[in-house]
Amino acid sequence: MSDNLAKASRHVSFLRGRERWKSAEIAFWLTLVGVYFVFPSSLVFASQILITGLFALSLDMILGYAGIVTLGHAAFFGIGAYTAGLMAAHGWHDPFLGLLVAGVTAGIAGYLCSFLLSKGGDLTRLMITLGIGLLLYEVVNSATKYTGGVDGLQGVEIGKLFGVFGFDLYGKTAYIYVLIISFLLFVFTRSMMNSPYGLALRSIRENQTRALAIGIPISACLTNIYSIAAVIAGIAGALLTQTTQFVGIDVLSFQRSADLLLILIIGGTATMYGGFVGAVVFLLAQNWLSNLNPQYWQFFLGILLIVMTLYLRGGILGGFSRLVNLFRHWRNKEHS
Amino acid sequence: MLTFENVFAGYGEAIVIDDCSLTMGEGESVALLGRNGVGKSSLLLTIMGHTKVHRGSIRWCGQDLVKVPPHARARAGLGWVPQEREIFPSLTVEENLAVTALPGKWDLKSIYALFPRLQERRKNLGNQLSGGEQQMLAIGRALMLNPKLLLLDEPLEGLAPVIVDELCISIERMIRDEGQSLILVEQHVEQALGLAHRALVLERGRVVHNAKCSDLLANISVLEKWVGVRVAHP
Repeated sequence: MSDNLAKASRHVSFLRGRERWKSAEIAFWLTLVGVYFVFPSSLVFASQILITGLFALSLDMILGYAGIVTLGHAAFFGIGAYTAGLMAAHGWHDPFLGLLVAGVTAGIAGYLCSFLLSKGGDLTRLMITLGIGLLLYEVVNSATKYTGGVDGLQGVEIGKLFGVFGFDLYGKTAYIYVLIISFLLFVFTRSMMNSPYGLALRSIRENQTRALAIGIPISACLTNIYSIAAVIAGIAGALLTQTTQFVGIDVLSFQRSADLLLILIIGGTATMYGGFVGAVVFLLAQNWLSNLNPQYWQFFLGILLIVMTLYLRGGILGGFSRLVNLFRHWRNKEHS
Repeated sequence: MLTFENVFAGYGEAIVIDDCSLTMGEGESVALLGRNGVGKSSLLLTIMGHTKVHRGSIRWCGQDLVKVPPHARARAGLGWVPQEREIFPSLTVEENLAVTALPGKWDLKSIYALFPRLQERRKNLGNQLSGGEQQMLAIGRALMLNPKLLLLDEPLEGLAPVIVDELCISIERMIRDEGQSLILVEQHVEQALGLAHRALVLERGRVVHNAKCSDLLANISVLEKWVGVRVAHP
């Protein structure tokens, strides 16, 4: 399969043009580097935003590109978080080993779950993913002896990166660590989505029967992408564990899956950056609104959601690209 | 290249293709004619694996095709352009073409040479195209697989006469210049007979007449009998 795709990508040369990085993209990542210097006191919060953004990217792969709706994506985040946590609590303190094992474990879980999703419509998938999420939550909740149940997993000790850089109280090491891992995974995802494989996923989202008729092996594609997305979600979960040195059971909660869906839709689906932009807006808004009114802050979030869904199709990035197009159109008119 | 031997196929228990036999050689172009509902589209669906085959054998390049899943048939060199066109609406023209591109003589350049309109529209989204452009894109997308055999299901249906002429020229170039093998299902009998080498007339799911297109055009009584249309003498 990959051999075929490689041949195909050589065959359609215009796809190669897309692999070039746009200046807005470079600016985006440089800004994230800049955050380290400009907001040294908010790095813990900034790390959480990045982790959430990475988690949302993994949802974008399956929801935005492949069109699989899910309400249980936190399952893989949680599996990654607990795997990394349990390893660190039982003597394997190396952070990279933790990431690797967490990613692989979540990936295997994703692979197994994908067979439940390859058939059936949106509603079926919604129910199945919801079911998997709830089931896993209660499994962890009841296994108090190993997981700490609702009290969370204690005694997570993370070793130094390369044996040199320890995780400090201000989250300096953590931020750089999270930024580098996020960037590497983003580059990987980006090149995958710009390849013919990414196009194949989008054509499955558009029209399954037609995709099948032009030679796209639908179930194989969906199994692949679901497993890869689970790996990335698992790594995001492991990053949260390692940077906070704690695992709370809320990593598996329904709320996390639902929030993630909101984040991605607010940011914009199938854009690669929608998850990150959504995470920034959502978490900042949450922070700000809950300061204004700690008890009823979700009221305003509700309003924001309704307004955005009605008037800002394609999320923030969708609205932004329409603005840019309008501006270009207007400028062209001026010129002529 | 493609052989049907006493094939019975249909949807569920209903038989639509009834004891059908045919053979097609490489480089051949065949017009598939017949009245409405005689199983022309179902024959194409059977070739692509979207019907249930009850009996008989279908062979493709020496390989038994009956058990092969639809996507693998497309990869094995069968390019199908269904009647509904089904362009991916949120993908651009270029992306629609690139989805399943396989190496071969058909690439973006040669597709654009065949359908210059697609090149003009290459950055447009699939849902911003006219009916004729969608049809060109659907054919182009199937050609990007570099199929050994192209299956066209009523490509001229519902299009303006100017566009019909334009498409006919492109299809003719595909057959004459590129030697593309194809099966053309068409209600526009005259155009179909003008394009293809050989004609098969289908009646109640089986081939009842097999002739060179030029012979059939000269033998109007056969056409009237099986297809039920009057054809102006060429």
